[in-house]
Amino acid sequence: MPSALEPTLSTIGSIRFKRLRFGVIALGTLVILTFALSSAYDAWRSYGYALTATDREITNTANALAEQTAWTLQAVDLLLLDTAGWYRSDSAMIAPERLNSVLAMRTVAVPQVRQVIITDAQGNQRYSSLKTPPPLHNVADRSYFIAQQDGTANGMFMSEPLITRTEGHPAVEFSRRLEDQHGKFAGVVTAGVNLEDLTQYYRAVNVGIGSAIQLMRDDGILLARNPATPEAIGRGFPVLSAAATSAASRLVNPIDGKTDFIAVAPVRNAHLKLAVTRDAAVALQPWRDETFRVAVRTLILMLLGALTLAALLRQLRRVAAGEQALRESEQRYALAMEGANEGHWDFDLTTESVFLSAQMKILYGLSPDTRIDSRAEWLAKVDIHPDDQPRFETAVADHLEGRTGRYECEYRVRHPNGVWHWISARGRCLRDSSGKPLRFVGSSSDVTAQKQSHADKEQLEAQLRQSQKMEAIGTLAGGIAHDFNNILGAILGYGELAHQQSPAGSPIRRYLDNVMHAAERAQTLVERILGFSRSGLGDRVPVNIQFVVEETLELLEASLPAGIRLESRIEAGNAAVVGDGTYLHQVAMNLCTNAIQAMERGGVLGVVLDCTELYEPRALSRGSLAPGPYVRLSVSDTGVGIPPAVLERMFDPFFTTKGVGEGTGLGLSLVHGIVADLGGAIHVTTKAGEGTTFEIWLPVVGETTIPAVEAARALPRGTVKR
Amino acid sequence: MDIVIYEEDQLTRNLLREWLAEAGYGVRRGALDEAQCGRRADLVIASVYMPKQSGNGWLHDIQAAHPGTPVIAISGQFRSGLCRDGATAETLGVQQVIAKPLIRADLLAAVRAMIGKPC
Repeated sequence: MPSALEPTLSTIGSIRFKRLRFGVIALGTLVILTFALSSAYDAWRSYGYALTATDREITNTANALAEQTAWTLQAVDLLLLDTAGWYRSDSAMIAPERLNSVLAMRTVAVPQVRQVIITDAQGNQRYSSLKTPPPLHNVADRSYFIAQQDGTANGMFMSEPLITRTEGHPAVEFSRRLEDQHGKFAGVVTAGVNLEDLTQYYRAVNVGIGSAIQLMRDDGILLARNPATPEAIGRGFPVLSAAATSAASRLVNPIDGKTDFIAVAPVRNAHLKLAVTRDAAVALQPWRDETFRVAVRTLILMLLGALTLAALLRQLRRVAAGEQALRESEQRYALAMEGANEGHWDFDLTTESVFLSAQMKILYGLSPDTRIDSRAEWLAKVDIHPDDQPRFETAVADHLEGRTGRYECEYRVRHPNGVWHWISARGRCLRDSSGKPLRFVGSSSDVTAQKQSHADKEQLEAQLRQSQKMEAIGTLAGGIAHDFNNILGAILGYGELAHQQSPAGSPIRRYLDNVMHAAERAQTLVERILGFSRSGLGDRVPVNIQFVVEETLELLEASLPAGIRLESRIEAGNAAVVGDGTYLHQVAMNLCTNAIQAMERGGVLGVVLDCTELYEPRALSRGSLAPGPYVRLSVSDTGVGIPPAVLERMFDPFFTTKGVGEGTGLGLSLVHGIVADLGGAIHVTTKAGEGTTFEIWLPVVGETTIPAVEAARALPRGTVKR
Repeated sequence: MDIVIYEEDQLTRNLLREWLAEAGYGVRRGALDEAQCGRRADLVIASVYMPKQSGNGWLHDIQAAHPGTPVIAISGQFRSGLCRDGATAETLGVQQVIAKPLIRADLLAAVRAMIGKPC
């Protein structure tokens, strides 16, 4: 039978598992890495956005503020220009005490200017726009005066931040040159812009946390700053004013020492620059926070991913281990089943579906890949012996209906080749809580060999009993024959002596004749007893069996009853059987006589004699044969057949079916004794109403052409002539 | 001519004695110690009981008591129609076998054939 199990199965399973695990690890790692990379890319991108946004914001702010500042300063310049024009042309016509108020009126329109002061050519402040003018001072040493006096300012001049002498405020002074009618230097008109006001103005602009607005001269002198840093005002920070104006750059702000983004915008028509700075740390804080959150989220997700992967692998390993264990268990089970030559079956009563193992199908003589899915198919494909069918059905029904604790049944099934096999089935059904059967599971095995050996054993035991019985009878018969023959010897011997002495024709002689005759009959009986008991000792010579049978048939044909036809086929040739011709003659005669007697209403007496060769041992109904050449004498009748009870005992001595006095009951036992003595065996087949066939198998020993009976007759004989 | 008879059955023994004496032979009952006594015989007739089983041993004892003397074995268990000096005789190690019940003519013929007529 081809094994259904591959020894490499578990190896294949582990390779498959390793591949699967590798795939899961690779895929999981890929997913996690992709996720991490995508997060990193996002962070990088958002960093770029943060930079761009910051740049745009501070650049825009710087530009807007620079424009605003330009407008503011333009207003201041217009005021100074107008005032200078007015002073040259009209101031002479106005009383000097009214000049202050005229100046004040002019200044009202420009709120960013704190006060306008007119200073003469000597540097003495002459008029102020303030309603209550503070004490005036000489400012000939101030940069805004000197620049205009020298004519180097060439227009409006803006001073460095300074503390005004009139009010003591920190301020920036804007100056323009005053000229008389002849174009000669006549002093300066100055407009003071309070630095606090300027700073105040920038403070109103919300540029965001960490940001600062710096207004400075081109040379880096800081004019104003928000948030306010009074200590830095007036100091020069050329680094800031020189910073690139295009994109936002980063530098260390010398004012507060922090790393800042910076955008610098020139103020139109003024030698000023407006720088907006933003603390890089603050500017990037939202990005940092976001990135941190993303990083944390990514890490958590990666960790979760890794944990999931680990859990998946663990589960996979457990599943694989489970599968492996299951496979091993199944393999073990299948091997055990196969080793035990057992098949198993599983019948689901709720769905009528059926599972049969491959071995089970083999047990039924079906191909292992036969499809059997339902009980109907199962029963249709399996040919159960008609004699076993009721028993099988009863066993199943008894178990399903709960009358038996276990299902056990032995039945025969016919394989497709026609051979009957004994199947031993055992099983149990599983029930629900109410006792209703759900599944019916069990295993079966082929017990044909056991059954056969059991039957063989029983037959051997029967044969042993038979031979022991025959042995005992033989011993008994031997003793009887011995004593009888002595007695008969005396009767015959003295009878003969008396016979000799008696006068011929006298009644005494007639009496003695009868005594002798009776004694001879007794002698024949004893002879037969010796024959069946196999205790007698006779010579064995090669006998031509064909002559013996032909002779017997010749004798029979003469006295064949009407209605009985003889059909014979005698073709043993010169085959020789070692034995006693007389006995062989008796065998043939007894069998034929029995056959004729079995056909009271006529029929066919069949006698066949042929030679055959046995190549393996064969057990017949009486005795068994070793391989070798045999001659077979078959005597058949078309009579009533032999009932089993008779079949069992018909070879026993003194067993007869005839009435008292009609038969001795020694015929068949004599046949059996002779055949057994010659190393042969008997086979009987009978069918009620159809007839019986006796087959006598005798071992062939070479060939002979001399009829044994003749050979024996040629020699002097130790018996009286009958 | 002395013939020694080993026969347990008195009827048969007497019958043999009758026949052989009438034919002129000297007949006596045999004993297994005859060799020691120095007696000798011309023929031994021995009855064998159960020749298949114990016959051989019994015949050996008899032949030991009568070395060189021919033996005729008689038995109720020899089948009729037996060759006198055939396979059975050979098996038993005797010169002749005769089945019982004995026939006078057969017996005397056999004896004559072996040792000749009595002087």
